[in-house]
Amino acid sequence: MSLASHPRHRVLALLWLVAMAALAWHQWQLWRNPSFSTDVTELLPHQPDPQLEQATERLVAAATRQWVVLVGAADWERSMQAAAVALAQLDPGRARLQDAAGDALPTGLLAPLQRARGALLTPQSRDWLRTASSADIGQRALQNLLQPIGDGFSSWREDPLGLWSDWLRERAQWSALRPRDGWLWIAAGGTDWIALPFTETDNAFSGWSRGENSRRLAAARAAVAALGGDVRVLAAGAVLQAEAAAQRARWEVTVIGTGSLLAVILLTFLTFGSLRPILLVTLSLAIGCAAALSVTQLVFGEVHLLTTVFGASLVGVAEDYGIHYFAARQGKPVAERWEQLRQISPGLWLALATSGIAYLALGLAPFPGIRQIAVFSCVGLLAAFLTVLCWFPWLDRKPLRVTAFATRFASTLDKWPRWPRGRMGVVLAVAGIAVLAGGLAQLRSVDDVRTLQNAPPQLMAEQIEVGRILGLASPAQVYLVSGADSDELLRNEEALTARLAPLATAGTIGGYQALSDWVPSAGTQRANAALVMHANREAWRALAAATGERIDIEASAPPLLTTAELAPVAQGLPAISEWRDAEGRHFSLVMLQAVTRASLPALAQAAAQLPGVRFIDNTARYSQLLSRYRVRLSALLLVGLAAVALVLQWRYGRRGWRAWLPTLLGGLFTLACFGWTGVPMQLFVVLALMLLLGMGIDYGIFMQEHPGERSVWLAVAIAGISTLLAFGLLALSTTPALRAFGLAMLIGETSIWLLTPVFRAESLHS
Amino acid sequence: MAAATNAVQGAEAATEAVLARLHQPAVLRGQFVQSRQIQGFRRPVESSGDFVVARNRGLVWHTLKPFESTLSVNRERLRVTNGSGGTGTTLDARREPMLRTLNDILQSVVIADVAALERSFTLQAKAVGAEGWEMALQPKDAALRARFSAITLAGDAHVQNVLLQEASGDVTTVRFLQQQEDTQLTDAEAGKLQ
Repeated sequence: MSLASHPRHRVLALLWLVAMAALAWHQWQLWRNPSFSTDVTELLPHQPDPQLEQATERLVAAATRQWVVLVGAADWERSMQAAAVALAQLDPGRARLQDAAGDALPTGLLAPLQRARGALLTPQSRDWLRTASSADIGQRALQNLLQPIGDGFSSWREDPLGLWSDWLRERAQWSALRPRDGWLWIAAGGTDWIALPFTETDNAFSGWSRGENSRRLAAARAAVAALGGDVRVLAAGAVLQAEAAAQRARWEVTVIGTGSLLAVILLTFLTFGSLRPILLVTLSLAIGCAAALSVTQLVFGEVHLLTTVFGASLVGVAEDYGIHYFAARQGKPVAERWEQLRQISPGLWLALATSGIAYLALGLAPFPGIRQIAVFSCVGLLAAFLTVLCWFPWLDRKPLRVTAFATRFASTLDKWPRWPRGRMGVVLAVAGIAVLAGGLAQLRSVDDVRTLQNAPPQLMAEQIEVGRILGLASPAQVYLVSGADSDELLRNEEALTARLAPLATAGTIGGYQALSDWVPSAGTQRANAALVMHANREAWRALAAATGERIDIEASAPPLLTTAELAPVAQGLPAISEWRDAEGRHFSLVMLQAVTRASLPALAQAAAQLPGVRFIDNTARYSQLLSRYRVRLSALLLVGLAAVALVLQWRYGRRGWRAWLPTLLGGLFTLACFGWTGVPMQLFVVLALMLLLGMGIDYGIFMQEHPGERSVWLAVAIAGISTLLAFGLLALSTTPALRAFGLAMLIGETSIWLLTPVFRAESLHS
Repeated sequence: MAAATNAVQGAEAATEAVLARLHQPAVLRGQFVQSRQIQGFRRPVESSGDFVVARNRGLVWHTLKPFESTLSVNRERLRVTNGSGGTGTTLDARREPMLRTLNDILQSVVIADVAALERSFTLQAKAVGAEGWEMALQPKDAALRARFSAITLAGDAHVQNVLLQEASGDVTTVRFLQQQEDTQLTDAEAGKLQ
């Protein structure tokens, strides 16, 4: 009967069925080869700065393929034993282990350098040669002759002053690792560490979502621990962090998703006492989440893990529509269900629209991470809503009785306090304003990109310790140097390193790595060669005077060393590689070691007024970015608040404030709580406020649409509790930003939910 | 298999025999005459002076002829100073860890510290005559082979002759004279090894 009487509904249901078939097909494709992004920087806005982007890409590309494990004991024999045990677990075939034999310098690098050695000088050698007298030079050369052994790098005849070995020694400092008994060794703090550096092949990240490397690492740790004693294992690398982040995110999605779902099921069961509402509400949620994931993937190409964690809390929001439907249906004749749906749908549409406005406002900011979350949430809500609208009356054909729980719950509305009139109301308002103002006055904000990371603290600590032991250059602060051609680039670098060298000597920074340390500019090479030729002649003369021995070598400048000669071996080593942009300008990075917060002003100063040199402080850059967007979104939030007020004014006239004020107060109360407890304000708290605007208003809308209607209050209450649970669970997340978000949602939702009935209109029923 | 085992046992026995003939004082002083044949030189470079070595503490190699120059090595650094006492060059083992190995080798060679040498070299030792011995050292790992092709020691109660063959082709021969044993360093010597 009902089938025949609603042809329009039938068309809608069929259309939605077609859409769901397409969704199912896409989901099947998606989960066959799931791939999620973990890179925090992908969430951040792109800068209209191609130079910077290229530089960042190169840093990331080099960092993502490499990871390192350190195995260390107080005793070298034990270190070797433990390293062998660890390696057997990590890489039994030694397919990924970097070559540990031979020199500290990358293989293949030495040959082109050796040809140019007469033009390569350390800054110290250069300074000494510039001022040394003939006697100084002669004495140093003869002294070298008297040592029981040579320097091992070149013969006295060709390099009587050992300048080449000095230069090589200086270059070898770029890695603190030294070969020892077939291992790469470094001693630090009384421990003999063995480094096991791994390079992943081209498809480095193919295995990370399965946690391949983390599993191998855990096995290695266990095997080393089984040896007993004081052997330590440290690991560092972007791959490991990505794996750990993925693992955590997966766990959080499971906990938050399952937790919210269970809460929805329990509340639905208590309220409606039947299996059907549970199944249908769960269906609307499943469709909502699947559609959200599919559309996000289609729009953005790749879904970020943070979005999925965030999305898990969507379960607690998208169930509202289904619950409203069943609350309206409860205790009414089955045949009236179309009519019931027709009655509540304006309110549902309006609720969806205000949520939509909130999300759209979020999406206005060109912030990929937030846009993803906005698209994800919008689509999820819309799909859940359409499922209710198109399918529920078809699938729900049996009567629904009113449960005792529902009756009892709904009756709480009658006893709910209202804002008192008269003097009491004024006193309360003044007290409330004092609490809010006091909290807001103490509110401070933090904009730190690290709040978006969720790698375990232990792994982060190990990363830092490994960086310290190995003296690794940090990708957080670099200089981007450029020039019209290779030689101008090198000259610009040399101007910079001349300023950095004193900082390194003074210990302000640990050191620096620059391409021009390996390939000096043509001018420097010519000047060096002149100094070296002069010094060698002096040395040979001193030898002849002392021993009568004559050396007949034609002193001549070596061929000019170019960056092109280093290029084949420099791949993957950002500190010694050069690249060109579309306009043909040459670029390189100067990397820094052991940068501290205190050294940042000096580092920024070092780039001042140097042509083609930019100091890039990525940490500060990202923080500024977050700060800028926090301010910008706060402004959008105010605009959204005004827009919603206008919509409410349009629909409800003078009663509009009753739906609006609880949300405003709830938002202010959330911020005040943050202020009183010292939790800092950050971008993600603004996002939470934005969503509160979207959802909190819903409660007001439902209460306004059907004043005093108990079934509406029931739906609002159930929806509110499940939303609370979902975001409360998000407050458990290990990602600081999501935790702050969850906390803001928790406080905000609770206060809005409690306040909305306080400002309800006098109903006809009471 | 059995032959190999016998050979190992034989080598160990020979090393033991050499050790039995060798004195192992805490401190040894003496004089040296060094001759370095450097690639491309017609004549070797001769030098002479005195030395002191303290087991596990370091070596002071004090050249007097043709002019004064002091090389002092311990585990942490290598320092060369000229006659007037001004510091010439210093290499720090913290920056150049290979230096530890080289410094260990330098001081171990002078007193034939077998235990220390065996860490870096394979030893072939044999007793010679009633009191003498000879020892051939082959570097174990690639990094050392890049520096030395072979080292040969000969002596009795003390090392008398050293032949250092470097991978570069340079060859150093050292003859030791008038060795004297002691139990501790003088303050001046200890100062040079600080």
